[in-house]
Amino acid sequence: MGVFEALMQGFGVALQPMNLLWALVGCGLGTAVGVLPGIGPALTITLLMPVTVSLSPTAAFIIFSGVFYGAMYGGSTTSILINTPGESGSMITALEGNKMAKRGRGAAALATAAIGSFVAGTIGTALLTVAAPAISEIAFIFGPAEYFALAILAFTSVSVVLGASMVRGLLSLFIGLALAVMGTDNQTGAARLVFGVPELLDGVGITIVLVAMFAVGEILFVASRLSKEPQQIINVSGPIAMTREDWQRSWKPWLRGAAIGFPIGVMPAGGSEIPTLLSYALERRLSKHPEEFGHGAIEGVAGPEAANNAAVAGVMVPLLTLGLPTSATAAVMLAAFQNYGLTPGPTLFTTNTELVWGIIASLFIGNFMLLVLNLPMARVWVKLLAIPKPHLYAGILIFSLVGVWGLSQSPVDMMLLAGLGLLGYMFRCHSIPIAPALIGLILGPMAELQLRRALAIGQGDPLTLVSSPVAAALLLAALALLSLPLMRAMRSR
Amino acid sequence: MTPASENRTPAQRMLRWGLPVLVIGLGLLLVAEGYRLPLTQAYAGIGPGFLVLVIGLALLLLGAIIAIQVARGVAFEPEETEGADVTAPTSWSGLGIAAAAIILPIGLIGGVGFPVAGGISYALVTRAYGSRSLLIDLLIGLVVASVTWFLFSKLGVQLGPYFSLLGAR
Repeated sequence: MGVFEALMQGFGVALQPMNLLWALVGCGLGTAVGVLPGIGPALTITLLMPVTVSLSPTAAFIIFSGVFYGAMYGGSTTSILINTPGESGSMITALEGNKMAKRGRGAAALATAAIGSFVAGTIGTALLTVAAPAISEIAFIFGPAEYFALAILAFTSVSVVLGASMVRGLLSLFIGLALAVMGTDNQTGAARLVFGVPELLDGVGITIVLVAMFAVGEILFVASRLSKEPQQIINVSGPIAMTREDWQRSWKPWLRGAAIGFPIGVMPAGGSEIPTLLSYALERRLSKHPEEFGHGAIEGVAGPEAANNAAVAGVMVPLLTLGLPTSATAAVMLAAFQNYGLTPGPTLFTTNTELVWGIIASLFIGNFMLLVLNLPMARVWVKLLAIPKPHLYAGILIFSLVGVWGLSQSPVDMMLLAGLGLLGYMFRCHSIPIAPALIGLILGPMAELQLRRALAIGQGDPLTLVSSPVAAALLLAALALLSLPLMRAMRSR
Repeated sequence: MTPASENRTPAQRMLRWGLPVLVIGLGLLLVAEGYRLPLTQAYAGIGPGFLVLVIGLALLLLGAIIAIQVARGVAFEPEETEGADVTAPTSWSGLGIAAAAIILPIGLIGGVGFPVAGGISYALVTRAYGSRSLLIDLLIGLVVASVTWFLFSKLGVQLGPYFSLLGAR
């Protein structure tokens, strides 16, 4: 079956009225959490997981994808209007977009962000459509050694790239791995780090770790350093549209942003921070009005916003084809796949064609919905910020309690929630990134399983791990990433 | 923005050692557990203890590096977060009340049921975030938690009975 026919079949699934409704629900929720502080796409998907068990996996993933894409749109709206990026990919947008809004150009900034996100998101999804089946073919030759090497590459790149320093990234990763090995060992049945507590034999639930680290950690941290300054929302007058000159200055940055964002999103540890920074630097260099940068240059909004959304589409490629999450949200989606007993990877494209192509088609539809939801209605979404902060964070706690108490009504879970919440608070106090811990927790068991399989096939010979060129190359890349910051430190001395 | 380290009180300087101590403690725990478990296994080569030991050793190494960094005075500044003023001094009362909202449900939620425990936690969080109308917040919290309990129970999430008295499930 060709890619085109498969995609058409996917549209057949995604365009069913119920699935369209789910896409709308996901996009709306995603935009809302993108606008609101304290709650992001990863946490939202985690909290939705228990609710969506009664839905089909296709419907659930249509909602999740809508949340994933929608959060990017919502984040850019708040970056522009109140200079608080709702999520890390919109930091650059806050830089230029907020300056534009202060100069009375808020409408144009919102328009170029929304249309640019749509253009780049659509290009990114189209590239995903073409690339994913091809990459999933390559993945068929992957054996245990290759999968192990791939996991190691993902671990190192996530730890090195994200956060303030490599040490803190690695610390986060190893704490995640430590949580991953808790519970009964799948292969031998040995109890690891259980300390005689029977509830821990099943290991620490991914939901508990996510809710604790994201929601509880955030509630504690913000409570301890509450900002006294009231938020200044800049009013935007007139329709949200662009002038002819705005279009001329925007379309090239959109395309360049998409070209930067997608490939970086595909790479392990791509994420959305690096492509937005790169796009911003590029636009600044290419601009005919470099003096405007820092004072509200439209190119500085158009490029990074496009790069941001193309990167999100890129992140879906390793997730769907290899089962490899490269961002916190992707890690949560992988956990959701596992909840449904599905294993993302090459086999998913042959055994669950309806699901995979339904998700991909719904990404196209969701992108269009988000444009419609955000372009005329940006002002409506900002109204969400009228919720007083005490009640917003208290509400987030209620949903967190639902997410954890609803698992099995176990006091041990509640203790873990409190303990890991304090850990999340410590992470924030020391600028330790959370994503490496999540990726360690979710990919850790896979990495260990593949390592043992590879060694069993090689009869215990560790050289078997580097005997295939693909595995050796992946491990070499991981080693290079680890030594990069060290070499930089040596040179600066 | 970066407070100079000489401005710190002795208590703040002590607190800086919290992170390396915690990491090294965690590392020791994993190393001990790793040694307790079989490290090797026939055929596969590595047993269930192997990875635990490796993670423990890595945490010990990282803890040592962080300890050196703390001794050298490397800044471990909190990250920028929406709604938080990272330059402000830590409000221990805010943190304490918010922590109570998270710790109380451990015992309470099984004892009195989700809505009541949730309502109390709700009111505590609003208090930690500067609200001063405790009774009204408690009322709002009870309503929010009850509505949430009702909706999620309808959606098939098991949240226990609406109200239960200590153990009476």
